[in-house]
This record gives sequence, structure tokens and C-alpha cells, in this order.
Amino acid sequence: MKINTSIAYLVGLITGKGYIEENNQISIEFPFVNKYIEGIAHCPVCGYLATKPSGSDLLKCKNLTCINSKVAKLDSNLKKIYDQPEAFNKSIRNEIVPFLESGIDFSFNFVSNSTCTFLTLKLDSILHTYLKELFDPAISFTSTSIPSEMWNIQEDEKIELINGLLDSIGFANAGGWIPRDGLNGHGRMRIYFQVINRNYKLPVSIDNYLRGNFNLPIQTIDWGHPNIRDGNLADYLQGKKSAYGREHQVKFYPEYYQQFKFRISSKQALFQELLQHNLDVGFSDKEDWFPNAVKEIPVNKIKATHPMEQNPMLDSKVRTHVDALWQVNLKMGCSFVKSLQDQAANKELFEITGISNDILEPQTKIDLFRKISNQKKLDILENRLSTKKTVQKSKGKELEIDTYPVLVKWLEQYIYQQTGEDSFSFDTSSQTLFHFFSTLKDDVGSFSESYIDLENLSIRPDIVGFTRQNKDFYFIESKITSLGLKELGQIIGYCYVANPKEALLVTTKEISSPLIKAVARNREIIKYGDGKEVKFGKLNMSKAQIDLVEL
Amino acid sequence: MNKAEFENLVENWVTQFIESDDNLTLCKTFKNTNLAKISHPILDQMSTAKLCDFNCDFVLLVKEKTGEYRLIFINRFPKSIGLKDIGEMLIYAKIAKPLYALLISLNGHSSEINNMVTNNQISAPLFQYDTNKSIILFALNNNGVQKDSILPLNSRDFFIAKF
Repeated sequence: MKINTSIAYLVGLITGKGYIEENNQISIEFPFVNKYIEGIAHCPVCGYLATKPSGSDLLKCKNLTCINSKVAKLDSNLKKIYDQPEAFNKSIRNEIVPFLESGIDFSFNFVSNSTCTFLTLKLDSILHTYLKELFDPAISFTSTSIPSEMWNIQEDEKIELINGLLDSIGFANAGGWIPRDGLNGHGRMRIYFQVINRNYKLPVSIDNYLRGNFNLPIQTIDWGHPNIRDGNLADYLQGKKSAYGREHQVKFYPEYYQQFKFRISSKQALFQELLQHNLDVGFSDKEDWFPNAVKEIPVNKIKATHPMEQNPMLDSKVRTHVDALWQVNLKMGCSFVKSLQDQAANKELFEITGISNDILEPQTKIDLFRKISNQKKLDILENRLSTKKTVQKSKGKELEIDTYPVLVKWLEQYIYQQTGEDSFSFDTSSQTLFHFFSTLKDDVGSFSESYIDLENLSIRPDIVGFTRQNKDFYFIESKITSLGLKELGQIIGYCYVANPKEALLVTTKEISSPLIKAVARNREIIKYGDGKEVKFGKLNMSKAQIDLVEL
Repeated sequence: MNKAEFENLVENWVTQFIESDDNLTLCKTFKNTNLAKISHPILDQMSTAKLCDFNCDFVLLVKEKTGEYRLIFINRFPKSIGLKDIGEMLIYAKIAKPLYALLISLNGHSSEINNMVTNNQISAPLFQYDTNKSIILFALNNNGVQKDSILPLNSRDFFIAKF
């Protein structure tokens, strides 16, 4: 396949936020969280950055010697406001599609809503097959990385590949500044690539590519790893066990990236604002994490052992303890840290402590690091126990959520009776699918495919059960009101999309006569998949039993 | 836009939508009404109306040029439209086989269904309630119907041609 700039750009889009589908289709998601995004405000008196203090509608100057730094009194109209849905739609239609068309034949469709625009391209089979093989085995951005073949393309094509990444997962955000003093002001603005947590390969792939092909600095990679995001177990101890699993962010300063551009106008305008700010303030330090961050880890920077650091939802390469971002990079294939490791006297010592030179008793040093991590964890847990207060459960009327623990146990027994297989069942109100699988001690094995299917489809019925041996899954939708057509409709949507082995609609009350009559007249309304039917049940809470009801 | 304003917007739009169709005459609009539980001279003669033992935000009774009476179902949402909302309308539409079954929102579809909207294998059965009839979902604001929001994709051209 002869690559051109359009194809390279498309490869960047797919790497960032693409789905490689059947029927020669490729879809790209262009997400934007909020309708409006604000630019930067500068103080009209001194030109320093002005920001909004918590709880205020007005802005305050960051220059402590400025009169506008005492109280928040600057109008927030100093900031430009960008309408993202409008900018995204216009840019995709008027910039991105024409650019792709300049080098690729395709037909396309847009689908947009209030938080993203979805572009679907129908390609010719040759290009589709090429792209499929290029990314194989990845079929979506949850596991893509920059294909190795893209290291051998022309310079302008490499630039377009990065432009594609910028348009799909690049974000310019005025709130992403870091407190740094420049020659003429304060606050250094950063741009970032945001990568879904499941994809640990892509951040390093981006870092390797930018560094290896363009010699560009990356300020930091903010990994969604338990030790990095929740180093002191604060989220974990608050019950937010999977809070570490937010997106990874690859952050960089815009002044080094002026050869690239966003085609989405609101992103490009913000990029220009952030860039101009940094140029005006005047920073000279590149602040590249490599090689600066790769050094002996001081004792006070050793992280507490985190209970989630071995969980099976982490990429197997980083299912371990780390104390610094570069350790994740190394494990995920960073060629630059690897080159330092190769020069180190003791590779294991380097990997765990960052020490490159030869020392006496390296194993003692390694053991000390592990001991300190474990001790920090014990200290945190002990401190937590001494301050924990008893929370009394308030009494109230029966809630839907009260039925969930009963249903979870019942479903496990039910699946065992039906299949003879053990199962994993859980309620999605107390935890996400991601969190549920994160807390499993077992290898997620074959049912991880089911999990990924459901996660991709964002299916969230009240109770989900998975059989251990195969990909079968079961849904329960629970109600504390009588079951009607509306309630049936709510579970049938999930069934059409996810096709569970069984779906049960359960109530603590009655099954309404409109539902009974409607099913009697037209049984099609409860059918899904290949002739399967939604089942109905009445939950007896005191007996923890469901009586299945034939309609 | 608050809920009442959006409701007005939907009502005005659908009235214009029907008026612009030479084949249809609007007879009555029922708001949040269980048709199976009311007495109405025309509905009483319609077998499908008696099956409508549920509440849609709007049900429109229209008369076709052929003289046949038909129903149009509309659920409207100030929020994004998710799978549960589509499933609910799918049940209603499979029961009563309306002329149109419309899901209208300020925001369009929820991002949770992004993956499936372009996959015809998934979206076709999810939206289809009768032979050649699908629920139609779209975003509506003061500028009218947002064409890029219309789902399912295979109904988009048909629906755009209608207004």
C-alpha cells in the first residue's frame, strides 16, 4: 500500500479513537465533554494569568504584586468561549473530510450528539484490509498503538499521523497549566493526549514516536496506574477502588509542537492561545521527563503498596509495584529508558530503584524498597483504622438497591443450577464492570472478552453474571414497582444489543396486567437474539428467592 | 432551554411536520395519555389504540388521505437518549405499529450507543418495529432538526425528505 498524507492522518485518527469495523467501515469518535470550552484570561493591568478561585464567578490575577490579585474582581468575559459541537461539526465536515478525500476514496456518514461527533467512513476493500492488517489484532482504540510501519513513512506523513492523533485524542485546555515562573509571568500551559485506561501501550507508543522521529520533549505521562494516581491510597480507602483507572495523559508544552496542527477549529484556537501565552511569558526549560526523571528514587518518593497494583485489569506488564512514571514506561516498551537500563550495572536494581551504578549488596537495596512500600501501606491503613467512625445505616423504605445483594447471590445459584458452572455476579450500582473485574483475584481469562464486549457497549443492567468457563452472561433488571411495558422496554434495549444468554426482569411487586395482556397478544415483544425471551420473576426478599413467572 | 420550553418546541415542530405532509391531517394531540383508558370516537374504532396501554409524551392521531387513521408516538427528552429509552419505544411501537415512532431530544443520542449506531447489524433490530418501519431518533433545538443526529442511519435520507 502506498501511503499518503491522508492515509497517515487516518491512521492517526484510528490509533487515537477509531473502530475498525466489518463491511469496509472505519468509525472515528471525536469526543468533547462540554458544549462550551473557555480560553485563557490575562489580567488587563499586568498581563499575568487570571484564574477563577473556587466558588467565584470572577477572576483573580496570579501576579501577587498586582492590584487585581487581592480579590476576585475581573470579569470572566476576558476569556474567549468556544462552541465545541459547532466547531467540531464544521471542522470535520469542512476540513477533515476534504483532507481525507484528497488522498482516499470513501463515502461517509456523520452522527453527532451533545458530547461527540462520530464519523463513519466506507473505504474500498483494499485500504480497509490494509488498515485492518496494520492494526491487527487491535480493532479499536482500546488496544491500538502507532503501527511500527508508520516509522518508515515520509516526514510530512508522520506529521499528519500526529495531527490525526491530535484531532482524536489531543486536548488543549486552559486549565491544564502547571505553576511555573517565566521571564514575564506565571503559569505554563500544556497540551495533552488522553488515552483510555485499558490501553497502556499507546502512551509509550506516542512518546517513542515523538521522541524517535521528531526529537520532541514530553513534559510527563500521567499514568492511570494505582501507584501513580493513588499513591497514598486515598481514593482506595474512600471506597473508590477503581478511581486510579482514569485516562492516561501524555502532556507536552505547545511551543515545541508548532509543526503540528489541529484541524478541529476550537482545539486549534485553544492551542494557539496556550502557545502564545507560553511564548509571551517566556520559558526556556524543556522540562522533558526523559532523561531527567530517570534517576534513583528517593526514599520519600517510594509509594505505598497499593491493593490494586496486582489486579487483572491492568496490563499484565504493569501488574506490579512502581514508584515513578518512567518505570511504567520501561515496562511498556519505552526504548529510551530501556537504553539506560541496558547501560546500568544491575538491570533489576535499576528497574526497581533507578540506580545505574554498581553498589554493594544490590539485593539488600531492592528488599529495602519493598519493605518501605509495605510499611507505608501498613502505616496508612493503621492511621485509617484509628480515625474511622462508625456510620449508622439510616432506616427507610425499601429501595431498589436493597434487592441487589439478594439478586447477586440468587443469580450465582441460578447459573450454577442451569449450567453446573461457577459464575461471577455483581451489581453495577456499587461498581462498574471495570471495577468488578479489577477486584477479581483470579485471572479474568475467557470472560474478559465478554467484559470487553459489554464495556464497549456501555451496557449496564442492574445485575450481571458471567459464567467462568465460557462467554455466557446473564442480566437481571430489578424493580420495586410493578412491571409494565416501560420496564420491559428498558431491559429489551440491552438484550438487543448485548444478546445475553438469559435476561430476567424481576420485581418485588406484581406484573401488571397491561404487560401480561401485551405479551399474550404479541409474544414478539419479549423476544431477542435468536428466539430467546426475556424472563419475568417475583422477588421474595425475606426468602431471598425469585419465583419465575410464565407469561 | 427548560423542560416546558422544550416541550413547546417539540409540539410546534411536530405540528409543522404533519402540516407539511399533504397526505396527513392532524386530528388530535394526546399528551401523556394512556389511550387504552380513554373514550374517543375515533380511537374507539381503532383496534391498535386499544393496545396502547402505556403513556407516551405525545400521541398524535392523524388521518391519511385514504381516510385511514394512524397514530404517531413521540417521547421527548431534555437529556440524551439512551438504550433504555429506545427499548421502551420499541415495545410501544411493536405493540401498536404507529405511522411514526419518534424519540426527540435536545442532545440527541447518548454516547453509550455511539459504538452501535453505525453498526447496522445491531442498530437495525434495535430501531425496527415493523416491516420497513423504524423508530427515528434525533436532536431538536431552536434551529430545527439536527440532521447529523438522525438515527438510524438507514432512515436518515427518508426522514430528511419528509421535512
